[in-house]
Amino acid sequence: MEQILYFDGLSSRAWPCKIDVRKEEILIQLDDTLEIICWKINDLISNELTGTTLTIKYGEYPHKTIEIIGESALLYYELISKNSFLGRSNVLWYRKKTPIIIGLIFLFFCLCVFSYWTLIPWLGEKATLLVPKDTEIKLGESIAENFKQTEEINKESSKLLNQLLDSLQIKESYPIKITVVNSPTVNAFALPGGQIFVYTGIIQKMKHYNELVALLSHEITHVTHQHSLKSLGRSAATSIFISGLFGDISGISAGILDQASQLKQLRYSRELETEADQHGVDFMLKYKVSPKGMVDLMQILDGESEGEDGFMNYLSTHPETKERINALKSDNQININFKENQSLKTIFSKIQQSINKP
Amino acid sequence: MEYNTWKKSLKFHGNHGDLVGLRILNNILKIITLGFYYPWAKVKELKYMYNETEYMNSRFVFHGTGKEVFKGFIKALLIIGVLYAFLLFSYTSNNPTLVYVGIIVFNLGFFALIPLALHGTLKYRLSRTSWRGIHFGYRGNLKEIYGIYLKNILLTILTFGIYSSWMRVALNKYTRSNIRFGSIQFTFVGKGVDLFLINLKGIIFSILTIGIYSFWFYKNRIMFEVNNTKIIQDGKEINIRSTLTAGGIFKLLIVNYLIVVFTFGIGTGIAINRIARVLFQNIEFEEDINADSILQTEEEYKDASGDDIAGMLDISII
Ligand SMILES: [Zn+2]
Repeated sequence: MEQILYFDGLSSRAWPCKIDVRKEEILIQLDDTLEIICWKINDLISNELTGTTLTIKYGEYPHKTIEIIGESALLYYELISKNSFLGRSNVLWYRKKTPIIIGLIFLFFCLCVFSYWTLIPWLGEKATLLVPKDTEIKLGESIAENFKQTEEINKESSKLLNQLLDSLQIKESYPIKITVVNSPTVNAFALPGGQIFVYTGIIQKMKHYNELVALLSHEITHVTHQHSLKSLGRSAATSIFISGLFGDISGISAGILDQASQLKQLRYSRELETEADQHGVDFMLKYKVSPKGMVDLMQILDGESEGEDGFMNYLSTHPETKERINALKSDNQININFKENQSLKTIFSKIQQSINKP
Repeated sequence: MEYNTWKKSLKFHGNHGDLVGLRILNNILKIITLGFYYPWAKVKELKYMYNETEYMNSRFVFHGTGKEVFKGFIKALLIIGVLYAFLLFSYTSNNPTLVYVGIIVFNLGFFALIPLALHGTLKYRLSRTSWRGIHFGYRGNLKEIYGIYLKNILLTILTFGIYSSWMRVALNKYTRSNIRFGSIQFTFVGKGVDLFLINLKGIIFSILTIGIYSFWFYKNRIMFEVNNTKIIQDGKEINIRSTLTAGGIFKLLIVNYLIVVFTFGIGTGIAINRIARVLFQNIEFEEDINADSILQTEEEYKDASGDDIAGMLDISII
């Protein structure tokens, strides 16, 4: 079907017509009345091709319109575009250009994969730099408050652990606050802003204060290097990316809140864990505690991963223990030995007593 | 045998390749621009869908522009951003009462936005739609729709949701009667009690038949919407009806589901085309309107923000 219709914008009456596109004007001759109407091309409102329909609008609202349906639509579109100031507007410009489409799909696919694995998480991580420190500390505190309400807190050993930190006289950029949770779970985690949670299950397996200091130094590194906030940014960015990909706008915001509530079960990337191990060792050296404790700590975790309690253990938040042990052993600093610190030793045994009380 | 004089005057010509290609290109551009291409992508898709829809041998035209929708998109982003900012603020306050207040305000805020979104979408979308050079329009008043909405939502809450059928009907009556297509008007004659019975029957039977009845439920709801809408031209009422069957809906949805899953979402365009085709080609008109005598009545309108709030709240209207 091939037709050219003129509408005067006042009524729905369709006037079949013929048109003649000149350099500066379009001449329209109505079939019924033989009347000739002249449109200046520079005064056109739009010249728009959608599929096989060309719509040309002219004049003030309500616009006068010409609709051309059929194969000649493209022809007229090109002719008018050539002489008009209007930008090109061909919604289906890619028609009959299959190789271009296939090429673009391929490019798009590569871009998606690249973005998903590298660019998007990186952007998410960088975005967290915009979060003020105060907000980060407050965020951690409010999640910690929520968490404390659902768990049984061991007040005495919490106090002792904080004492242990005080006796090291550490100076860190975040206010570190340790809370001990009564639970056989072999686990510990750090929230943004300095809140650290340690389960009694992991302390029970320790034989020396070195291991406890190693655990704390590892978790403190997670705090000072903003690992949880960064991971949050990374996973939030990926979930936004996925929502965006499927055009689900409302999912984006839901995703962010969801991530925030999952913070304590966050699993860090291997890079962040290695970073926490290495800086943990530096931290131990700085405060004169033998870094061998870090290796011993890993061995506790490694043993744990072979135990039957494979569910909520340290491994689920701290992957690849064996590789981490090897990485630690390859560092010569690990063999530096400090003499026993009696006050740390005393606090450690008090902690052990306090958690073994019925 | 009764001879069927009802007319299938709506046709949908959408071509799978065209729409799939369009969506792929749109998605590429959306990703490259971190989502800011969204308004232009949406406009292109609407232009395509409208152009492929034919009524009495003439196509619909969507006149919206990416720039208009972009402005609306930014406004909607700001409004919804404020709500989220408030929620986040209350979350980080460490004060349990404030957290509850935050959650309540956040949800109330969303509820309060629904009439605005509905009003804005109708106003913008219809003003940008034309057929044979005649523009559609929406003459509803924001205050009035808020009045209807608030009264009805209150009754819905007080009746534990039972009143929602009457609410839907009240909103339909108000919005339909305010739609203009040049000199053509519309009206909605559905009754709340009928919709309530459809919903009640639908829910009970869907549970009893482990979901099988839900296709009849869908069918009944579509029929309720379509069959109760009437076109008024020069004082004459024209009836519309849907001939959609439960089996038709079943086939449509199952095949669409398979297409989307097995093409990893790339074939969503095919699914959209299929929905439009089945929906439009099952609408019958008691008789055709007088296509030559519709007069232009609506004035120019500029504001696209309602449309995008609707998009973000996931309300689909047209
Ligand atoms: Zn860790």
